[in-house]
Amino acid sequence: METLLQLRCELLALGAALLVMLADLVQPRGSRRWLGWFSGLLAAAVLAVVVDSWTKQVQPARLWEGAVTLDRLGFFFKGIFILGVAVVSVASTDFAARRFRFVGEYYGLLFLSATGMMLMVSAGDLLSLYLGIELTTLSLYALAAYGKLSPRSGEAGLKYIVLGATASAVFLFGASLVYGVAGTTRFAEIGRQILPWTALTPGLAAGGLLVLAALAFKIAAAPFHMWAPDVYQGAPTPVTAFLSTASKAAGFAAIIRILLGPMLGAAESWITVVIVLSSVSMVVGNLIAISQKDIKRMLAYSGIAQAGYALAGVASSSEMGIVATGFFLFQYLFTNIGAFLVVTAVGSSAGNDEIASYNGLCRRSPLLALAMLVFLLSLGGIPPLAGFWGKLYVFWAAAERGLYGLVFLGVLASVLSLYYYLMVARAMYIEPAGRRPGVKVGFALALGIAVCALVVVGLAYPTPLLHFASGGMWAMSGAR
Amino acid sequence: MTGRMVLLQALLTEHYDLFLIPGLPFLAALVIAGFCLRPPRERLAPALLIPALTGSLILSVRALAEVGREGVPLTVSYAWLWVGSARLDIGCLADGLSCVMLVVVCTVSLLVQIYSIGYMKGEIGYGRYFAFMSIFSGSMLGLVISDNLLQTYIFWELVGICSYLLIGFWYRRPSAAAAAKKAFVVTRFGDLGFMVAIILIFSQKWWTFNFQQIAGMAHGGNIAAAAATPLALLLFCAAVGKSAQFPLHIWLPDAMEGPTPVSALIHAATMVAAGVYLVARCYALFAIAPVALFVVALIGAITLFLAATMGVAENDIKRVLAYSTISQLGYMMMALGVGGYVAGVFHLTTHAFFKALLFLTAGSVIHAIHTNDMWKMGGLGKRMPITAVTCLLGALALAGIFPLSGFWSKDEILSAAWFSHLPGHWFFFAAGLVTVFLTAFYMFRLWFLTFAGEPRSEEAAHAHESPWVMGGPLVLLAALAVVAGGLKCLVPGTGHGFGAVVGTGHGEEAVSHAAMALSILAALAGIGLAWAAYRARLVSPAAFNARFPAVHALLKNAWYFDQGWRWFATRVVLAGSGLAAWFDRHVVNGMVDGVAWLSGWASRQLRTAQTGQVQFYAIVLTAAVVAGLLAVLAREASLLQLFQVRP
Repeated sequence: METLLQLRCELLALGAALLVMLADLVQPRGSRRWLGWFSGLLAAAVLAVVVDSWTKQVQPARLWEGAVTLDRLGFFFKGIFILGVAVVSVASTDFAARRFRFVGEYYGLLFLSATGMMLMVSAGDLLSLYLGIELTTLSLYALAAYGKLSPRSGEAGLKYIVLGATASAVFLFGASLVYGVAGTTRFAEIGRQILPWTALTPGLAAGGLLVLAALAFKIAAAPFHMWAPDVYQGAPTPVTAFLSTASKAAGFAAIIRILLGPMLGAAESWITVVIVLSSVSMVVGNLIAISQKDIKRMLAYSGIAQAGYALAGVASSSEMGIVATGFFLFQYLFTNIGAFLVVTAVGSSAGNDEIASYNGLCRRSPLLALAMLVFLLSLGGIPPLAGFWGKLYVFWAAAERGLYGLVFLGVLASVLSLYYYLMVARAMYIEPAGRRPGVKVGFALALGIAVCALVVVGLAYPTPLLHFASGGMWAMSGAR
Repeated sequence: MTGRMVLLQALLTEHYDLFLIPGLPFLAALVIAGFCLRPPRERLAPALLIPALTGSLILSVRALAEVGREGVPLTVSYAWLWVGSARLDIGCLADGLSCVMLVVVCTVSLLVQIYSIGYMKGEIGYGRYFAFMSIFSGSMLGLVISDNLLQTYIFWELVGICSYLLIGFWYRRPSAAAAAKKAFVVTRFGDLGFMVAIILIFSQKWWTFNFQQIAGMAHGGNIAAAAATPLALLLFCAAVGKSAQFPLHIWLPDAMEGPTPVSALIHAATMVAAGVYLVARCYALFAIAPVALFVVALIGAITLFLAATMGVAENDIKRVLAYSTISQLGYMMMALGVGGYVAGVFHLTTHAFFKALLFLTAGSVIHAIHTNDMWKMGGLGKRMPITAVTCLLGALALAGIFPLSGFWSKDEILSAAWFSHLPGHWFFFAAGLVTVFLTAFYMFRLWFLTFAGEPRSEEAAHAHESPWVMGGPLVLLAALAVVAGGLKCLVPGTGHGFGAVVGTGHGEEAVSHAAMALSILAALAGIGLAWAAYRARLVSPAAFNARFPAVHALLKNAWYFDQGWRWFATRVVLAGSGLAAWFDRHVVNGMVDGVAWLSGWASRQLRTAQTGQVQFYAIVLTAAVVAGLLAVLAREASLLQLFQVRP
């Protein structure tokens, strides 16, 4: 019982999933709009428990002989996931009621995948990690294919499941290699067999590489990124918002758990791999994004590049790098969800996601255009918006580790990225509107966009978030 | 401790109300900008700003009283962000110096805003004017109360942009637009020093920008003079720009293109004093860098003399006052340079009152007869008695006549120069003394030409006194200009004299009676000469000009500084920029275009890999995994070791 209580965040998220689906059954027909608000409320309740757990968990704890670990970093990531659920479910109230036949299951799947993500970040064992990954991705496969009315959504779901299964196979193959060499799947025990400053045995190296490759698939880092643009484009836009942020954060959480947990002693061996992943992602993502005409595809490639930036934080293999990556993923959640919510609004009005649909948006819907501008500038890393601090901290961490080449490449890539972000801004503010009508935005969606924009602007004062991301190491206040 | 408890504790014990002092005017600015920019509601703008400033004034006075009584600074500071090992703070420091400055800024600003209600009535852009003024007041208070250099720099630039916007308030007038541009560019020139200073501190890994900590390091001997000297000189560079010191003084006279209340508040009483304030704030750094102190004193002495001579030959009433401001700021700088910390800050305080008063009286005159030319005035004393009397009091205070406020502060400066240990302190004393004479002369030249004698134009003959909303602030400021000297003995509410309140740790400063007597004599001589030349007509200035045309031309053209800078800008800078432009156009642009073209090309090539075929994606995924495996394993001797267990 005690042990189960320790897992209250995961259990509550699971309970919320069931509750939403049950609540859907209570009302046989009629408008299901209230379900979105209801699940937003449930997510807020879970968030409160997560924050409370963060406060109480001063020392890390292990359950079931280390199969599950609980610490402040974990609760920080759990907060990210559940915030993603809260914002997306409230903001997609109208979208879901209009487009989906089964609304309750949509919210239920969001909570289920969040449960899986929470398990991923709590994992202290390769098997519990795999369990978390599968729960997450199975829910996400279903969500990607949820817009059954559109053939593209089905295509997205199919592609995602085929490639996701391939990645899972790679993960399991890697995990079995590790087990074969180390004789255990527990992180702590694997860590004990890795001696600092010595090269990994080939078996461990190969197994670790395969596991890392599977996780790189989850975060859509190049060259494991090819599924992302097709899936992001085809999936219903609110699902894409969730997929591109929370699921990416979960992948990063798992990478941090492994590389900066048991594998930290072998940092010299894996750091090159991470640097390669990071730099290829930054270059490929930013380059291909330039020539996109569809905003969802553009944001997909941008997401690949952003994964590259966050990997620079991992490559620093330091405490500061972990904090920086956590901070980066938190701000990315709000920035990117915000951008996709604007895409939802404009896409519903225009009927397509062409960048040309944004022409003259500042005259048609000035507040929407302003919000989009904030998100784009934040993605581009313009101070003092959230994205700037995110990039600053990951690059700073990498520079402290001496990875100047990576930082230089990252800064160059950011400059390149401004081109395609500002192309959208240009469409919104400079191009003539033509005969396009104003965009009508429902209250729930407007609220979601406003919250995201406020967070992105509010993170100009980053210290409180750093306080949470660092597990309380970096204090907020205090007289000198 | 948990975040919640830290926050709670902070709310209970820290002086977070200090944030409200700059916060209230900013709030007013926000509301004005949001709701009161256009005609029907713009009349509400002053009704928002004036209560906000009153609130800031009350809070500042309370802080001053507490600091004066307890002798301990009030601080509040939050981590804004962390970069590496450096913690950048956002915080407030209320010690004697900043509290005095806060009260001065709030008082002058409040009175000027009340005056503005009358002066700006019916102007196009009434709401915009008060919005800019609110931002300025908030930024200036923020500058004063900042507890670290970086925050000061942010507000420093904010007051700079407000100054630009307000000088160019009548932006349809080409001269106003040009003056705004000139002010901005010239002060930015100095601000470069500020930025370099901040970078220098960062590169020296002190890991703090906090004034108290830097002062603590300086007092504790943890900063070498070799490190302090360049830093102090760079900060002084910024002060030279902002406080219009030689050779960057050229922007201030042109800044008079703005509305007169703007000149009174920004270009006389507060913003231009920011440079002096910065030097005072960082005085601990200057104190361990004797070379920097000497440069400060020298620049101050040159400025005070040059500007006074320029004021003698000027006919525009506001420009005379502008030169006078430059000259008085020079006094303050010289005082700080020769070691008279308290004297410099004291003069800053008294000067704020009487110079704001003088500008407002000039504004009152201009409001009445719509010209700045003193030769078209005359005889206004009978028609505008309140303006004339208050202006006379201001002029007497500026000239340094006993017992008005200017006498006490100027006397302290001269004494400080007299007793200084700096090499060449007799030169500084002499420059100060000669300038006392010049100051009295140009001020009474102004007064006699404006208020005495017969009207020299149609408008002057039919002038009327300004309304009470303008007269009231004049009377109050005149009262302050008369009695502010008393602050030397007692700052009300604190129970201490001015020196004890602001000068913690800088020692008592002696007063020389001989200097006192000499300065009064010099001032009286100046007034006498002005009377003789422009009232009694015993001496003919025209004859002097005819006799020494070169001197007259030199003074009339303000020592040809504008021409010199123009030559520098057009010949040296433009030639250099032509070279840079060529380089930019042909080399840099070529590279940028090349990179852009290359990126676009690479983008088109790479996207062809995205075929949409899921089999191909799976192949790429697998190929990447295999390539990675091969790369990892190639580092090992052979593939056969694959399953070897570590012993």
